[in-house]
Amino acid sequence: MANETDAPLSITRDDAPDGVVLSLAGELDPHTAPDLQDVVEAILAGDGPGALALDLGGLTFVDSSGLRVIIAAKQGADERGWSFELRSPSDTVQRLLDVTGLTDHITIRS
Amino acid sequence: MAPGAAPPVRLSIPAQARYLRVARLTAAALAGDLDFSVDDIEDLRVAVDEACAVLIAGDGDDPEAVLELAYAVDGQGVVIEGSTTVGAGRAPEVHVVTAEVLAMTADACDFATDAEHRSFTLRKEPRGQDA
Repeated sequence: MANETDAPLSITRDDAPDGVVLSLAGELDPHTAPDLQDVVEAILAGDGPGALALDLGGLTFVDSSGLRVIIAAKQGADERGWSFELRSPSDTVQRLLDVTGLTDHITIRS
Repeated sequence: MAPGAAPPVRLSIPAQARYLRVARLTAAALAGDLDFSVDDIEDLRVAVDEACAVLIAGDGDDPEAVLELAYAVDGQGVVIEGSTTVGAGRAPEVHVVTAEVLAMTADACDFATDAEHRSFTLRKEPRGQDA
Protein backbone atom coordinates (compact mmCIF):
# COMPACT_ATOMS: atom_id res chain seq x y z
CA MET A 1 0.00 0.00 0.00
CA ALA A 2 1.35 3.41 -0.93
CA ASN A 3 2.49 5.57 1.97
CA GLU A 4 0.55 8.83 1.81
CA THR A 5 3.50 10.67 3.31
CA ASP A 6 5.96 9.44 0.65
CA ALA A 7 8.00 12.37 -0.59
CA PRO A 8 7.64 13.15 -4.32
CA LEU A 9 11.41 12.71 -4.70
CA SER A 10 13.52 10.07 -2.99
CA ILE A 11 17.30 10.30 -2.95
CA THR A 12 19.19 7.15 -2.01
CA ARG A 13 22.90 7.39 -1.36
CA ASP A 14 25.25 4.49 -2.01
CA ASP A 15 28.87 4.88 -0.97
CA ALA A 16 30.90 2.46 -3.05
CA PRO A 17 34.68 2.09 -3.20
CA ASP A 18 34.65 3.78 -6.62
CA GLY A 19 32.47 6.71 -5.61
CA VAL A 20 29.14 7.99 -4.45
CA VAL A 21 25.97 7.15 -6.33
CA LEU A 22 22.76 9.07 -5.72
CA SER A 23 19.76 7.17 -7.02
CA LEU A 24 16.79 9.42 -7.69
CA ALA A 25 13.19 8.28 -7.85
CA GLY A 26 10.07 10.35 -8.35
CA GLU A 27 9.73 13.92 -9.54
CA LEU A 28 12.50 16.49 -9.83
CA ASP A 29 10.80 19.88 -10.03
CA PRO A 30 10.97 23.31 -8.33
CA HIS A 31 9.61 21.81 -5.12
CA THR A 32 12.11 18.96 -4.85
CA ALA A 33 15.16 20.30 -6.71
CA PRO A 34 16.47 22.16 -3.63
CA ASP A 35 16.59 18.86 -1.73
CA LEU A 36 18.84 17.33 -4.36
CA GLN A 37 20.98 20.46 -4.43
CA ASP A 38 21.49 20.27 -0.67
CA VAL A 39 22.53 16.63 -0.82
CA VAL A 40 24.95 17.20 -3.69
CA GLU A 41 26.53 20.23 -2.04
CA ALA A 42 27.05 18.29 1.18
CA ILE A 43 28.78 15.47 -0.67
CA LEU A 44 31.05 17.78 -2.64
CA ALA A 45 31.95 19.69 0.53
CA GLY A 46 32.93 16.44 2.26
CA ASP A 47 35.84 14.09 1.88
CA GLY A 48 37.21 14.24 -1.62
CA PRO A 49 37.79 14.64 -4.40
CA GLY A 50 36.05 11.57 -5.56
CA ALA A 51 33.46 10.35 -8.01
CA LEU A 52 29.80 11.32 -7.96
CA ALA A 53 27.11 9.76 -10.11
CA LEU A 54 23.41 10.59 -10.33
CA ASP A 55 21.28 7.62 -11.31
CA LEU A 56 18.20 9.09 -12.99
CA GLY A 57 16.54 5.78 -13.82
CA GLY A 58 13.79 6.21 -11.26
CA LEU A 59 12.76 9.72 -12.22
CA THR A 60 9.23 10.07 -13.55
CA PHE A 61 9.50 13.81 -14.14
CA VAL A 62 12.24 16.38 -14.68
CA ASP A 63 11.99 20.03 -15.64
CA SER A 64 14.41 22.92 -16.06
CA SER A 65 14.78 23.36 -12.30
CA GLY A 66 16.10 19.82 -12.11
CA LEU A 67 18.38 20.38 -15.08
CA ARG A 68 19.78 23.48 -13.41
CA VAL A 69 20.61 21.51 -10.27
CA ILE A 70 22.38 18.95 -12.45
CA ILE A 71 24.33 21.74 -14.16
CA ALA A 72 25.27 23.20 -10.77
CA ALA A 73 26.33 19.75 -9.58
CA LYS A 74 28.59 19.36 -12.58
CA GLN A 75 30.11 22.79 -12.03
CA GLY A 76 30.64 22.12 -8.34
CA ALA A 77 32.26 18.79 -9.09
CA ASP A 78 34.59 20.38 -11.62
CA GLU A 79 35.60 23.11 -9.17
CA ARG A 80 36.49 20.56 -6.51
CA GLY A 81 38.16 18.01 -8.76
CA TRP A 82 35.38 15.41 -8.54
CA SER A 83 34.35 13.32 -11.50
CA PHE A 84 30.65 13.53 -12.31
CA GLU A 85 28.32 11.48 -14.46
CA LEU A 86 24.65 10.76 -15.05
CA ARG A 87 23.26 7.27 -15.34
CA SER A 88 20.19 5.67 -16.88
CA PRO A 89 18.17 8.67 -18.05
CA SER A 90 14.77 7.84 -19.49
CA ASP A 91 14.03 8.77 -23.10
CA THR A 92 12.21 11.91 -21.96
CA VAL A 93 15.03 12.98 -19.67
CA GLN A 94 17.54 12.22 -22.41
CA ARG A 95 15.64 14.54 -24.76
CA LEU A 96 15.83 17.33 -22.21
CA LEU A 97 19.53 16.75 -21.75
CA ASP A 98 20.01 16.83 -25.52
CA VAL A 99 18.06 20.04 -26.13
CA THR A 100 19.94 21.89 -23.41
CA GLY A 101 23.32 20.69 -24.67
CA LEU A 102 24.22 18.99 -21.43
CA THR A 103 25.17 15.83 -23.27
CA ASP A 104 28.16 17.73 -24.66
CA HIS A 105 29.50 18.43 -21.19
CA ILE A 106 28.43 15.58 -18.94
CA THR A 107 29.22 11.88 -19.17
CA ILE A 108 26.00 9.92 -19.48
CA ARG A 109 25.84 6.15 -19.09
CA SER A 110 22.78 4.18 -20.15
CA MET B 1 -16.42 29.32 -26.86
CA ALA B 2 -17.50 27.62 -30.09
CA PRO B 3 -20.91 25.94 -30.04
CA GLY B 4 -20.59 22.32 -28.98
CA ALA B 5 -17.08 22.80 -27.61
CA ALA B 6 -16.36 21.24 -24.26
CA PRO B 7 -16.13 23.81 -21.46
CA PRO B 8 -12.64 24.46 -20.14
CA VAL B 9 -11.36 22.65 -17.09
CA ARG B 10 -10.64 25.21 -14.40
CA LEU B 11 -8.21 24.66 -11.59
CA SER B 12 -7.30 26.87 -8.66
CA ILE B 13 -4.24 25.90 -6.66
CA PRO B 14 -2.01 27.65 -4.14
CA ALA B 15 0.76 29.49 -5.97
CA GLN B 16 3.43 27.25 -4.47
CA ALA B 17 5.85 24.85 -6.13
CA ARG B 18 4.57 21.86 -4.18
CA TYR B 19 1.25 22.07 -6.06
CA LEU B 20 2.69 22.07 -9.57
CA ARG B 21 2.09 18.32 -9.60
CA VAL B 22 -1.64 18.98 -9.67
CA ALA B 23 -1.29 21.21 -12.72
CA ARG B 24 0.77 18.52 -14.46
CA LEU B 25 -1.67 15.74 -13.60
CA THR B 26 -4.61 17.75 -14.93
CA ALA B 27 -2.82 18.46 -18.20
CA ALA B 28 -1.97 14.79 -18.65
CA ALA B 29 -5.53 13.73 -17.93
CA LEU B 30 -6.93 16.13 -20.51
CA ALA B 31 -4.38 15.20 -23.17
CA GLY B 32 -5.01 11.53 -22.54
CA ASP B 33 -8.50 11.96 -23.93
CA LEU B 34 -7.16 13.49 -27.13
CA ASP B 35 -4.97 12.16 -29.91
CA PHE B 36 -1.77 12.84 -27.95
CA SER B 37 1.04 10.29 -27.99
CA VAL B 38 2.85 9.35 -24.81
CA ASP B 39 5.67 11.73 -25.79
CA ASP B 40 3.18 14.51 -26.47
CA ILE B 41 1.65 14.04 -23.03
CA GLU B 42 5.06 14.09 -21.42
CA ASP B 43 5.91 17.28 -23.28
CA LEU B 44 2.66 18.90 -22.19
CA ARG B 45 3.32 17.98 -18.56
CA VAL B 46 6.74 19.60 -18.75
CA ALA B 47 5.46 22.65 -20.60
CA VAL B 48 2.65 23.45 -18.19
CA ASP B 49 5.00 22.87 -15.28
CA GLU B 50 7.56 25.26 -16.70
CA ALA B 51 4.98 27.95 -17.46
CA CYS B 52 3.44 27.71 -14.00
CA ALA B 53 6.85 27.77 -12.32
CA VAL B 54 7.79 30.97 -14.17
CA LEU B 55 4.53 32.55 -13.13
CA ILE B 56 4.70 31.77 -9.44
CA ALA B 57 8.39 32.59 -8.99
CA GLY B 58 8.60 35.59 -6.77
CA ASP B 59 10.66 37.26 -4.13
CA GLY B 60 8.00 37.03 -1.48
CA ASP B 61 5.83 34.26 -0.17
CA ASP B 62 2.19 35.06 0.01
CA PRO B 63 0.54 31.96 1.46
CA GLU B 64 -2.81 33.19 0.17
CA ALA B 65 -1.69 33.64 -3.43
CA VAL B 66 -3.50 31.48 -5.94
CA LEU B 67 -2.67 30.20 -9.41
CA GLU B 68 -5.72 29.99 -11.65
CA LEU B 69 -5.54 27.62 -14.58
CA ALA B 70 -7.90 26.96 -17.46
CA TYR B 71 -7.41 23.97 -19.73
CA ALA B 72 -9.29 23.98 -23.02
CA VAL B 73 -9.40 21.82 -26.10
CA ASP B 74 -8.79 23.82 -29.27
CA GLY B 75 -9.20 21.69 -32.36
CA GLN B 76 -6.71 18.85 -32.04
CA GLY B 77 -4.67 20.60 -29.41
CA VAL B 78 -4.77 22.06 -25.96
CA VAL B 79 -4.65 25.65 -24.78
CA ILE B 80 -3.76 26.28 -21.16
CA GLU B 81 -4.04 29.70 -19.58
CA GLY B 82 -2.58 30.57 -16.22
CA SER B 83 -2.93 33.65 -14.07
CA THR B 84 -1.73 34.73 -10.64
CA THR B 85 -1.27 37.86 -8.59
CA VAL B 86 2.26 36.78 -7.65
CA GLY B 87 4.77 39.25 -9.04
CA ALA B 88 2.07 41.40 -10.62
CA GLY B 89 3.58 44.33 -12.46
CA ARG B 90 6.94 42.62 -12.95
CA ALA B 91 7.76 40.84 -16.17
CA PRO B 92 8.19 37.10 -15.66
CA GLU B 93 11.81 36.01 -15.72
CA VAL B 94 12.45 33.07 -18.01
CA HIS B 95 15.80 31.37 -17.47
CA VAL B 96 17.61 30.34 -20.64
CA VAL B 97 17.27 26.65 -19.77
CA THR B 98 13.56 27.13 -19.13
CA ALA B 99 13.18 28.85 -22.48
CA GLU B 100 14.92 25.97 -24.24
CA VAL B 101 12.70 23.41 -22.56
CA LEU B 102 9.56 25.38 -23.35
CA ALA B 103 10.59 25.70 -26.98
CA MET B 104 11.00 21.92 -27.15
CA THR B 105 7.79 20.99 -25.37
CA ALA B 106 5.22 23.62 -26.39
CA ASP B 107 4.15 25.05 -29.72
CA ALA B 108 3.80 28.45 -28.13
CA CYS B 109 4.00 29.97 -24.67
CA ASP B 110 3.46 33.66 -24.15
CA PHE B 111 3.80 35.48 -20.85
CA ALA B 112 2.19 38.77 -19.92
CA THR B 113 1.88 41.03 -16.93
CA ASP B 114 -0.22 43.94 -15.84
CA ALA B 115 -0.69 45.83 -12.62
CA GLU B 116 -2.72 43.06 -11.03
CA HIS B 117 -1.71 39.75 -12.60
CA ARG B 118 0.94 37.75 -14.36
CA SER B 119 -0.30 35.28 -16.92
CA PHE B 120 0.62 32.84 -19.62
CA THR B 121 -1.05 31.22 -22.61
CA LEU B 122 0.37 27.89 -23.69
CA ARG B 123 -0.54 25.94 -26.80
CA LYS B 124 0.31 22.37 -27.68
CA GLU B 125 -0.76 20.29 -30.66
CA PRO B 126 -0.13 16.55 -30.92
CA ARG B 127 2.82 15.99 -33.17
CA GLY B 128 4.42 12.59 -32.85
CA GLN B 129 3.76 8.91 -32.99
CA ASP B 130 4.93 6.69 -30.17
CA ALA B 131 8.00 4.66 -31.14
